[in-house]
Amino acid sequence: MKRMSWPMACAAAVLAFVPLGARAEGADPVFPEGSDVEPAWRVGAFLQNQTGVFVAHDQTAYGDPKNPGSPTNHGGNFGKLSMCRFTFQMDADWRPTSRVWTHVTLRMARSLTVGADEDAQVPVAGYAGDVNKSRRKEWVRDNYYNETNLREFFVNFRTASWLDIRLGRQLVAWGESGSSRLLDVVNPVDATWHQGILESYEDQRMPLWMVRVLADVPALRGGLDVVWVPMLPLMERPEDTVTVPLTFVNAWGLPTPPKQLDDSVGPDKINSKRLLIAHDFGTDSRVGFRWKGKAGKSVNYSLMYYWTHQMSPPIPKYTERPGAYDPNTQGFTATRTTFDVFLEFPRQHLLGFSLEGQVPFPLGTMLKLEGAVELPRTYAKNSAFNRGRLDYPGNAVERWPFQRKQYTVIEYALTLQQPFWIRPVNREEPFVLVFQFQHTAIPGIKDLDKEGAVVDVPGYDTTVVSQNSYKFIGALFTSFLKGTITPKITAGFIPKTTHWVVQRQGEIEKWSLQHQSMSHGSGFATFSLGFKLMDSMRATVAYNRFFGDQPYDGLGFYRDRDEVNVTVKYQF
Amino acid sequence: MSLRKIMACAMILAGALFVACSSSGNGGNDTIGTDTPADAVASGFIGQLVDFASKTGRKGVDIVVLNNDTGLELDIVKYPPLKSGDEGVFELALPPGMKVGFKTSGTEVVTTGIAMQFQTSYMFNIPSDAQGKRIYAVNKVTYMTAPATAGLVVDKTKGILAGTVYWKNATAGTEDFVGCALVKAIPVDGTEAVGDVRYFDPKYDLPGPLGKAPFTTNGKAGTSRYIIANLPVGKYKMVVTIDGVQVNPGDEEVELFAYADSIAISNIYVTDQTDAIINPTPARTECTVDKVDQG
Repeated sequence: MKRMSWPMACAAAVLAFVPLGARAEGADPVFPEGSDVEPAWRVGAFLQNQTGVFVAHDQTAYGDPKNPGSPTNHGGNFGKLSMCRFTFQMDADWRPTSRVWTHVTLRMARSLTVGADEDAQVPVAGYAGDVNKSRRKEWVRDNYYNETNLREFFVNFRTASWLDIRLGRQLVAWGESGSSRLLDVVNPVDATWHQGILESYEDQRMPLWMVRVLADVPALRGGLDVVWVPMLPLMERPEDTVTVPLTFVNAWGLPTPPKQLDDSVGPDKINSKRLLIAHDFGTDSRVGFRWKGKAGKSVNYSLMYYWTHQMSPPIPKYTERPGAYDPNTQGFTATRTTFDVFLEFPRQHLLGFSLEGQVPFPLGTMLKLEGAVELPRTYAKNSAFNRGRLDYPGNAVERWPFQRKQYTVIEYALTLQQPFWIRPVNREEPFVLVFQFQHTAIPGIKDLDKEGAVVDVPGYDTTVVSQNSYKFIGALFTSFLKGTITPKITAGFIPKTTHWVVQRQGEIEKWSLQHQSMSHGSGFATFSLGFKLMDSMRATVAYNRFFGDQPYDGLGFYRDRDEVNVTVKYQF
Repeated sequence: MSLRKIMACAMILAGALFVACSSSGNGGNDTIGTDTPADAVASGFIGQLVDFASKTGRKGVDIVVLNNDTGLELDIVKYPPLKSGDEGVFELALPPGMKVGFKTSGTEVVTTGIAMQFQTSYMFNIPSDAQGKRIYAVNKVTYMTAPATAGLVVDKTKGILAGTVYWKNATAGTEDFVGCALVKAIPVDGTEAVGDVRYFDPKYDLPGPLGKAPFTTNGKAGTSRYIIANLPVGKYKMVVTIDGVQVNPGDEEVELFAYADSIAISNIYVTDQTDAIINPTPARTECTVDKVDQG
């Protein structure tokens, strides 16, 4: 996805920064310092470099010689660059009147190519094979590592003291609970430059053109936030309205799939991947609302509904290849041995709620509960499941549909935040402990039903979806010397509850699903230390460790990608 | 060339793939089958009906046990036709120490989705007491859609033979591909080879035109799979030569039946005629393929 936006960025500069500049030249701030009134203009910016090096040694993914072609290494080798990204971001607000204001966020990012991107699964035809390794790196660089992006550009009209109408390119955060994005559903995500769990959602969200109406309703102690994403084909590209598939890059994307249960469905049979993204104005628009209110003295709550597209992962719809079909003989002569895979982003309804409040005891305890229901979520089937009926549209292509399955998905996350003191260690600031438990339930799934099995990540049969799945996340942090040093530990564990087992007898292979104890699974741990170098400069050194007993499931995908990562950020 | 022929050709290609897949385990094609001993004690045969393309077991497909010598039903009273069970697994009580054949056809049984239909497929030279043998069947979609890359025009009144050429590596306990081998099908009562022979192209693991895949290959990316189409119905001996020398003489000269509009699958085992403990693949570079460019 090439970041649009040179034209947009220029437009933003003209519309936002030029007036700002004019105001600045006047050297006549509208509002004096210390006033509680918003200033007429405000500009902020930062420059950041983030560099990482892989420190994990290769781990064998599948040593089975009967599974040739399965990658043995998911990431780069020890000592190789995991990322090197330069970011310049500028924010500006301009308030010409009390009723109208505008906001612009411009981000320019440049990343160096990394060796692991040689294994990117480029969706475009013509990039396969060893001979194209360097071209794959270039493709990733050109499409994901060079970004000039108008991340926000909107105008806010305060039509009444209680009503705002906001038009433009926006990011909407309706709630995020630790590692989950249960209610943060409006914007798609681009996490191609680094592991998503290690980066803020703010940076990963992809902006959308939208109309947003924000209404305060004091009588009900709350406010309504209505969002309409109309889809503007002239202003945005379809691929910028959905989450970027993580197979498209490799340093922090998904490795080449292992051999599937049905090994006739292999990556080497794919000519191209084509995303069918519904992107017509109006008919493919997304719409929803969030009501956020207060109940009692210390409890906040929200209710959310959103009619959207399932933004990740893309679900395989059918394969095609060109040729000639003769209805008389019912014979098809293909002109190519490889297939084009068409993937789509199905529609879905999302319902959600959140409750957040302080608990009287122990002191300072915060509890937050977020829940969401997906009606429905579409899953790709396991490769061993039968395909649909073969068709020959126009007698010119052979089209073979995939089967898929839809389920109602119920998710909730409970987050506890507890500050506490350890005076002998830190006399100035408290430690803060955050713990989160997340449960995803899919009542329609039968765990051990092989025929009905669906996968979390299409193309990876090992990512079988269970009726119940869980996540445990914890974080502990504090700061010393008035924020000069900020250590933080974050860790997570995702138990694997169902997995495939194979019984072999001679040449016979019998695959079945089996429950697994909660001690199996995958996870991560991050140890970071932040330093305040100057008033405006901070540096963070982090060691990111991934583990997983299955190399093609959960965070096991990343178990060869342990890294040391250094971030230096200068705030203007 | 009629499209039906092309489709049949495609089926051949598919069959060859299927043969390739049967590479693991006992091919069991080194000797011709024997008559059922009258007083033989029935032994347990355990097999799995597997779709050739996906290598997945399929339930409810029709299976008939054949006499390995005649290609006819073995004994329809003692061994009536059966259907594959869950995961395609089936068991039979067969006399031990003999070779049998299997004919598979029909439609699988599924609880959801679209059931797979199978073209009539044959496998011969299967040990009657095998404990875990894959019996491959070629599904009709594969048959219909297999690419017509090999330049074959298939006559549906004739048969197809397909398989893989192996050398048994006794030291490593493996069955290895053999490169630069040529395969011929000669009628048992004749001397001249018949049929259209093609070899698998390592690039696509599908039969290729003779210009691109003129012989079998070994190596990491090699494939010593073959397919012979348009064989008149009958019985054939399969002769493999490397540089003009037959490498499967005597008992290794597999005999197979060709049936109209169907595929018969069998592997062929060869040995170096000067040194049995080495792979007979010549040292020439074109015989070995370690890497293919999929681009």
